[in-house]
Order: sequence, then structure tokens, then C-alpha cells
Amino acid sequence: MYYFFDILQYIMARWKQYKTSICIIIVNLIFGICICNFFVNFSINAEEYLKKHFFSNGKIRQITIHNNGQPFGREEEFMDDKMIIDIRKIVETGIPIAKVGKKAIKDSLNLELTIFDSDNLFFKDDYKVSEWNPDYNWKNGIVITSSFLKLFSDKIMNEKVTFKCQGKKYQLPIVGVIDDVLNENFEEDYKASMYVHVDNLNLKDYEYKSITVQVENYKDVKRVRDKYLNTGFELVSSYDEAERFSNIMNIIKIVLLFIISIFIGFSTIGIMNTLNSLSEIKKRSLTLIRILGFSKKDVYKIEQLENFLLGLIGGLGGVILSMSITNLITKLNVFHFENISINGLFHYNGYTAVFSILLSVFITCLCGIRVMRTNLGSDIVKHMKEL
Amino acid sequence: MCEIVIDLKDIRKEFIIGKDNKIEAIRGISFCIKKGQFVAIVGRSGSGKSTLMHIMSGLCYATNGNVMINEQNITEYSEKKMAQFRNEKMGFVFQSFFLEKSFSAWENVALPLIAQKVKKKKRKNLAENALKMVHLEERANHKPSELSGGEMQRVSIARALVCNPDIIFADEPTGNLDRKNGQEIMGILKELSNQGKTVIMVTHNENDIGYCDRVIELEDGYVIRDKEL
Repeated sequence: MYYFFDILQYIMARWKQYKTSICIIIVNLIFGICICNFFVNFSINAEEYLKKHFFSNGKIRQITIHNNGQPFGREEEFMDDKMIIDIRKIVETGIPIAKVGKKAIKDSLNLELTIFDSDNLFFKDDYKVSEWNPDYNWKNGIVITSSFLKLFSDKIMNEKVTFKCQGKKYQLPIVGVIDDVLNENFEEDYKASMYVHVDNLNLKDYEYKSITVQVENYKDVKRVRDKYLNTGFELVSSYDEAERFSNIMNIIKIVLLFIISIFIGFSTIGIMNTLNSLSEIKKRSLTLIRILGFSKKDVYKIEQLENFLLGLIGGLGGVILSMSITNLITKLNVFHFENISINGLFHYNGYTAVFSILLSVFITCLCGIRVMRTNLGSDIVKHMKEL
Repeated sequence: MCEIVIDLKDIRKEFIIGKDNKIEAIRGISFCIKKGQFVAIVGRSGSGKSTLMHIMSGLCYATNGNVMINEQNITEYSEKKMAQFRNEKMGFVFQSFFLEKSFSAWENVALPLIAQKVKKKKRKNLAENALKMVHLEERANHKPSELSGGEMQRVSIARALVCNPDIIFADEPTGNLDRKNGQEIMGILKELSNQGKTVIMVTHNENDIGYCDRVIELEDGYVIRDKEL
């Protein structure tokens, strides 16, 4: 370890001899890394920012299916096409499946036995669930709809019901009731929306002109979309929105990448040039230490340690500068317009700092290797004569 | 019987300039140098004296022949082993002093000890002892810019001595010095030779030869005179 510090001390002492070149390299790195860091942050923030604005209120997991103004099914059970289900209640229970109505619950659970008898209501001890995905988080229990509420007395709440699936027994309490009463305050988008298990969705069961399906996982959006893509229904899915969004983001990213590449390129050329001219100055010191008994490998290590230090200092400087600029923009509210705040675009992401410092170290070490190979060969005598 | 420190056997060195242009700088030189001898290698420019010194010190390899130092054939050494050997067994003094400007005198002297991974405290002690040998202990903390030419060369000699080497190579050590300082430096080198160090010096200066035990004169890559004084 002390050897490392000795070498470090030697490098630091040498820096006094060519401080101008060292300053040029560090300033080059600071500006290059600052711009790179700033735009990488901007790019990450832009994605989050746009995602937030495009897909607010859980729209990211929604598919709306229209049947050209006609109801999908002919069942008489739910005639009111303004019926709304409070989405949040379902989300809060953490249960991925709920269907409106007695038949729907029966369908979604695909029970072999009749589970409810409205005239003579009771739960049997064992029910077999044939097509039930145990991977879902069913731990909390099941939710029933308020259209059944009249059938249940309060004592049924939190009562456990035993289901059998693939040889295993699952005990689930009834933990909630979905409020399916009319709520005029909900947005038009949620009109007649309901939540179904993706695999159990059967549009003809419902007497609605449009159905909004919200799925638990984003990956299921594509499954539902693909299922109804060529069935003659009109589809508005967040998957397609996301595709469009992704295209916009890609364009933004390419432009930013181009800008970053230009700056990194200029920075690299600057560093390379300075290191090149510096190697001429350093030739004397390096030749001397080789004569005095440092091997070529030792010299290489010293040089790479120096480059590493330069990269680290430049990278840290760049990150600090970039951080200061983003903080300043946020503090001064520079981009706060009348109704739109885009300050979200200037949040600082810690991971980009690490990336930037690594990039800085990588660039300087790479330039250092290139310069070493070009200018510092193994012939000590040749270098002595050049001095 | 005197111990042989350096034994050169049929040393040849060719330089290839351009595509096929070969220049033979050293043409089959063989001689031995005994322990404690003060040898001057003289000759006109281009005679091959510096090249010969570089081959003897392992700074470059001969095209042909063997260099035996303390009965070890250094021509077979790897670059790393040669560097270590140079560090432990050889000291160098140059015409242009080759001192690091931003280092103090003791730091310059202690530089070869870093390669030996000697701790800083011990390094400083050894460096100060070496500076004492050249009567510069009071200037230990001075930078080269604060020293005279003679003092800089004495620092350079101290640096050559700090690892307690067997052989000291001096390339025109008085070339950049005035007469008085030159004599002082030659006096120090002579003293080292008397203490048992083998000193090999390349020089143009006729005055310096007077301090030596032996003169080897080169011309066109051949030894034309090898005389003990």
C-alpha cells in the first residue's frame, strides 16, 4: 500500500512540472462529462416525465374496446351502460381479478360446483377451482360485487372459503365488496368499465357498447390487444400508445446521443492531443525512472494510475458541475411556465454520476494507452538521445 | 587476484537505418574490467563509446556477444530483470544531470529506492547518507533550480550511490560544468573508485582522463587503445 502512495506522491510531484497540460485535460474532462451527464439525466428524466403525462391514472395498463356503437352481448343483467366500478378499490385489495355479477364471478373462478344459491345461500366446505392461476397473489382474499351484497349478510365478510386447485387447498376470505353503484363524478373514460381476468374476458357476456379492460400487468395489455386486434372491434390500447411514445423517446434519445457523442468526441480529441504533447514532456521523467530501475511495466502502471486519477478528478468535477447546474435550474425555477412545470426534466439521477465517472476514467485510460503505445516504446537509449 | 566485474565477449552492435542501411557501431569488442577500476572510454563522436556504455549497463542489447557482470550474462535477462539488476547493481551519472525539477535534492536521490519499495522514512535516511557522501547534506531540501551545476551533478552522483551499486556509469559527467566543479566531481568519482566501486566513464575531456586507472579508446567501433595508467 505504501508503494502505491509513494507512486501517487511521485505523480503529484510530477504534476507541478506540467500543471498547464494537467489543467487542460481536467477542464476538458469536466466540460465533456458535465454535458454528457446533463444530457443523460435529461434523457432519463424526459422518459419518466413523458410517461407520467401520457399514462396518468393507470392508463398504462388499459385497453378500451368499442363495438361500433353496438352492445357486445345481449344479457339483461347489466343494462345500465353508465355503471362504474371504482378502480382504486380493486387496486387496493391487490387482487387481480374481479368480475361484475354473479355469473362473472362464477366464470372467472370457473368453479365446478355451484357456489351461490340466491334462494338458499351457503358456502360449502370444499370447492374445486379448475382453471385458476395460483401464481396470482390471492393471499388477500376475493372481492365480490355489491350486486351480490343484498344476498350476503355482514357475517359473511372475512369468512374463509376453501378452494381446491391442482391438489392444493387454498383458504380465502371475502375481503371486500366492489361498489358498482352509479357514480356520476367519474370521468367518461370509466363509463361501463370493468376488470376481468385477461384469459376469462368474454365480451359477449356484457351488454356494453364499450369495455375498458384494465389488466394487472402491463405485459397483459398486448395479450388482450392481440386477442381482439382482428375481430372487427375498435381498439384503443396503451400498448399502441406506448409504441408511439417509445418512438418519440427513441428520436429524443438519438438526438441526445448525437449531442453527447459530439461533446465526448471533442473532449477525447482534446485529451488525446494534450496527452500526446504531454508525453513529449514526460519522456524525460519516464526515461529517467527506467534508467534508474523501473521496468516498462512499472512505468506503464504509473502512467495508467496517472490517467486514472485524471479521469477520476475530471469525472468528479464534471458530475459536480452538472449536479450544480441541475440544482440551480430547479431552484431558480428557470423553466417554470404559466401552467406547465418541466422541472421534472432536471432531477439528478445518482446512477448517471457513476456512469459519467466511469466514462471519464475509461476515456483517459484509453487515450493514455494509445499515447503510451505511440510515444513510449521500449528503446530507452532512443529516448535518451531524443532528450 | 583482482575480481572481474565486467567481461565483454565479442560485442557487436548494428543499427538499421531506413530499409537496408546497416550501421555497425561496435565491431567485436572484448575486454574485462576489474573491481574498483576507474575506466575512461574515450574516442571521437560516432566512435561507439556511448553505445558501448549503454550495452554494458543493459540500457540496450548487443546484436551479438555476451556481457557478463559479476559472472552473470545480462544479455539473457528479460527487460524486467534487467531493470531490477540495473537498480540494484548500477548507478548512473549523466552530463545533463537528469534531475526531476519539482523534487527536492533528497527526493531525487531517493528515486531509485521507490522501485525497491523502500519505505519513505528509510528512503529519506539513505538519501541523506548518500548526500553526505557528496558533501551536500545541507542542501537536501533544495530543488534543482536552487542548486549550482556542480551541486546538481553531486546530487546526481548521490542518486547513483543510494542503492550502493557495484558499478557507476558516468556519461560525460563534467561536460556541463566549469573546470573547478569538473575537478570536484572527478575527485568524488576517484574517491568512489578507491572505495572499491567500479567507475566507467565516457568522456571527451583530456583532464578527466588523468583521474582514471585505465583508458579504452574507440574508433569506428573498434578498440584502438587499451592502456592502464
